[in-house]
Amino acid sequence: MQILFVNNDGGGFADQIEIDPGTTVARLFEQRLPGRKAEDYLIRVNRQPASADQMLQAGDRVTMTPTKIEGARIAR
Amino acid sequence: MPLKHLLCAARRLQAAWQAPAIQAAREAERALDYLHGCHQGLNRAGRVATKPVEHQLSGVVPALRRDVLARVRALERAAHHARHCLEQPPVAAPDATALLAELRQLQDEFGNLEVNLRTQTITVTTEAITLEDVSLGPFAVHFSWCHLDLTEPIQSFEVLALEPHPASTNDQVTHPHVRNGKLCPGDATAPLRKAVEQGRLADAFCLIRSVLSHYNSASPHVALSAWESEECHDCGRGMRLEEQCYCSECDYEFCTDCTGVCATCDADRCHGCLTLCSLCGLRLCGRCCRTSAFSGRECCAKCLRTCGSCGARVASDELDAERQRCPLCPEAEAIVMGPLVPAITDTLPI
Ligand SMILES: [Zn+2]
Ligand SMILES: [Zn+2]
Ligand SMILES: [Zn+2]
Ligand SMILES: [Zn+2]
Ligand SMILES: [Zn+2]
Repeated sequence: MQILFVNNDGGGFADQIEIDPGTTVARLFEQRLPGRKAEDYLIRVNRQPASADQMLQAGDRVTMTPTKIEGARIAR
Repeated sequence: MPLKHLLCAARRLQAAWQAPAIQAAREAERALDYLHGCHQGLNRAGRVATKPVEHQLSGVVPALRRDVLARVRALERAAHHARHCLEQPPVAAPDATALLAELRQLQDEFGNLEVNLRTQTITVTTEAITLEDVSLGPFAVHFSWCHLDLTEPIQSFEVLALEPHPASTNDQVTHPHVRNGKLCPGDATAPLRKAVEQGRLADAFCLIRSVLSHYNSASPHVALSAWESEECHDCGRGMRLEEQCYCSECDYEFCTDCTGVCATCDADRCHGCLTLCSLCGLRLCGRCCRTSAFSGRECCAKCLRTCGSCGARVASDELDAERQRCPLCPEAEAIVMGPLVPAITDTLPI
């Protein structure tokens, strides 16, 4: 099934992706941001806060945004 | 915020996003028109240039060839520009429904939202931010949707400290990564550009908040460790907090090189507020510095003596050592006290 996945880490990926039915928020996080800690991210499903074990539905809009980002002195 | 107001804002935002898309489409159209014109011009010039060859008018050929070459080059440039325009991914302006959802999410994420239709700005306020024990206060993040520049979207944002605690060496630096109200997004640059491009306003504001909530010690405008630093009032050198010495006499901060200690009470004072005892040469603070009642010379308490006659405190080298009298007293004694003293002393042994 397809969901809209927005990863605001790195380059800012936003696209439809294919996931297995029954995929939870935590599972998607592991797949998409391996090695990262979920507590360092703002995770929203359909613009709402979501629990780790929430099962994703086809057509869901999932965003993951890091809560701490390194700023700079000069705009890159 | 009332739904009607949000809806109106969403429609205005949509128009703002459509503007660059329309502009890009127009530019591509113009580039193709120009390319077409160049092509036609080249065709005409090419036909003319080949005729003299047929008629053996060799003298005219070089000039015509140059003309054709110039047109070929122009066509090349026009083709390059048209290709560039067409290669840009089409900007899909977000629809008003999506933008309305963005505004509502913003309200949820920040717990506050202001939309000003007149100034065309969206404002949210962060919570008070403290980085490495330096409290910087809350920040208002403004997004202005007039002249929206999708290639440099950070220019549409302004970050203003609401309870500013700027770096002491530069009051325009209200956050290690904010100067003159502009945030340097660092690692958030790419995702921020994508978010604004796609109209994901809530993501854009959250990304900015994430930069504000974190300190990158490798690239600050002013390092947090030097946030409270000041310039020495004497030599002007920048000092960190732990290097500063406060002089309570003149009420300024000084570096350790420009500060000394009072030899009498151990208090720190700037060099300007320390006086040298005119007799022993020790440094004295204003509180410990005394003056001779006779000459007004500045000296320490140890270098003052009391006149045995008038009780005045004078510099020790001004006192007649033998008679313990200040320079003002011998004559006065001779006139006023003179006759009485022998009479008293004469009677004592009896
Ligand atoms: Zn100094
Ligand atoms: Zn003193
Ligand atoms: Zn002083
Ligand atoms: Zn002295
Ligand atoms: Zn005296």
